[in-house]
Amino acid sequence: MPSVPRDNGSMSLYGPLRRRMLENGDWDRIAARLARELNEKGWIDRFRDLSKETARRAEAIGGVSVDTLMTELWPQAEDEVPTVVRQDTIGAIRKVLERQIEF
Amino acid sequence: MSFQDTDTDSSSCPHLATTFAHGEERGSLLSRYKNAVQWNTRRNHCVAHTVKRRKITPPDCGLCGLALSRPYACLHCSVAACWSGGHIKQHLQDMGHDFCADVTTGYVFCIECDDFVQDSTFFRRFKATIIAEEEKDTAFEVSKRLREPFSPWQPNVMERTLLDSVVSLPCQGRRGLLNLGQTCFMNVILQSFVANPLLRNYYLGDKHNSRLCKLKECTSCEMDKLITEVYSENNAPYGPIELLAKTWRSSAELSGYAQQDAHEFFITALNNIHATSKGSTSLQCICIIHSTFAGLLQSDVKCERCGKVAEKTDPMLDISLELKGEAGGEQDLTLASCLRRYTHPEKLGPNDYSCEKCGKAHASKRLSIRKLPPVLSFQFKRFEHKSVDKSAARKIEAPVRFPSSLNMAPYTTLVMHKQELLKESGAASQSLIPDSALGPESLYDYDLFAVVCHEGQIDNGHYTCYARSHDEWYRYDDDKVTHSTLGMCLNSQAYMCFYVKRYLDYKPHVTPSYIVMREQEAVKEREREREKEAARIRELDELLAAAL
Repeated sequence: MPSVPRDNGSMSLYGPLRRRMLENGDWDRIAARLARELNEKGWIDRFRDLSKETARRAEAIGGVSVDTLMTELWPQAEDEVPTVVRQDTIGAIRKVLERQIEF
Repeated sequence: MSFQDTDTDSSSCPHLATTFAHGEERGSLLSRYKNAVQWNTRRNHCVAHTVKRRKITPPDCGLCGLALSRPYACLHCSVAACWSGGHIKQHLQDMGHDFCADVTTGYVFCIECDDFVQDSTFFRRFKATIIAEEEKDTAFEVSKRLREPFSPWQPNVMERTLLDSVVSLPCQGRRGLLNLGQTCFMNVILQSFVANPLLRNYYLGDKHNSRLCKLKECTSCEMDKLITEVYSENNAPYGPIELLAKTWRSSAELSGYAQQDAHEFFITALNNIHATSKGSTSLQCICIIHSTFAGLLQSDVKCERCGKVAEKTDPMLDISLELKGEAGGEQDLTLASCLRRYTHPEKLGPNDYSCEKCGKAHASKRLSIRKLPPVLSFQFKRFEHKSVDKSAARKIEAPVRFPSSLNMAPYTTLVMHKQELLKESGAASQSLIPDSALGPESLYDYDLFAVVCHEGQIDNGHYTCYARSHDEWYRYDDDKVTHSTLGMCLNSQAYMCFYVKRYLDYKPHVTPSYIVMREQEAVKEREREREKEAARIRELDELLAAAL
């Protein structure tokens, strides 16, 4: 799960910005588009399969919890997000923020 | 499986089982769960189509105060919290509460097990709640009537008695098919039929009983026999000999021991089953094949000069997608890119098109799907025939990436038209569905259930297939059935893919016309019998009277 940014300068902005994005629906629309793009690149299926098969193999040694799976696979999952999808999403977030913040 | 809440709950969590034993606690847990899921579904719908400036307030995390993008709802109190940082787990521990649920997926977490737990009651409640909410969101465009609500089947008293007296057979529902001489092309299609939930249910539900059917050369009977054989205690590979023989007799081009094309067999089989199904008609047929596979393809031809658009719809049983001549070469092919290409406007020259208003003109033609069928079948045109002679052909080996879940909204007529309209007025929608009247996203969701693969050359190859049973994938290589994975399936070289709609649409129940007619005939027959009997009695009376 993403950790909340700890840069103290912008920390105070994160909470209100996040709330506003959720209220406007911007957050959900960007998240939905991200999910669609990741699905088309096969990322979602790859990690669905990887988590399932990892859990299956772990059953022989007593099983593995969701938390452990997440910790184990998170870095790889983040790493394998295609560059173009990452850039698209950051761009979309930036566009929304530019409307919200006075620079 | 019925949806009665009083049926035995199957759960993997002993703590849940203990809690569920107390009726009141059970009720309260389920009620909170339902409210949380309902709230989330409603919010999704609102968010997809926000009217400008209208705010949809998300709940705040009970621990850190951040607005929640993915709430986990406690099932014992009204607190919701983040998963990250262990916030919801902290709450459960602090308050001595046991269970919480992820409102997005409906998954339930047990603090004692320290893991997510599987439970059929929650699962059923989740599905039922989502479906009910989404039905409320979709109204017919013209009549404004709401969708026919789904109601799970409940057996009546007579049916319950019958069910209780029935003997359950242990069976896997998976059987290999013997290769009867280069018949792998037939075996893979048959496996895709067995894995097809609508076809399987039709035959398991005795809708075409091969022991009662009086038709000769009935292919539908062969399907019934196949399903019966697969859903039996016998696990040994089965040889569909009679089905093969009937196919040879009905379609000369598919006979003989040479390798045939699986797609050709697919279409032939569909037509044969349609022809031998009760209630099949040539127009707007409602037989099992058409109810399952038939969709409508729309072609819009727009005259470049006057802008007039000529619309034409054609029925279709499947979609054949071109692979050659892709802009980026034959690399990086995906099902989505093929579909985009399929629905992309195509230029027509003045010699190809004549506009009603202005005669020969440049035009552009665009295909879209007007009506989505419950089962979507895709064929990737891998076999390129250079001439009429089948042997001089090339196979396109390039792999095509396809997903396990597919959303068909961008390729449907109404969505495409709406997007065009919005683009022209400069208000292009960010959402998948540009207009709330076009229904929730899930209406267009499909799940992969079978994949037909071809290895080797065009005349010297072998067909295998992958098929899904619940959430597990199996590989079928004629008589050999092996447990496989989603990954193996998606990495194979697909020739055909089969998807089934996640949520079906229901019409109000109407007795099919051929059954109504049959009943009317039976009533008339009984009348005739009564008349005859009455006449006989009168005759006897007269004879007796004359004799006396």
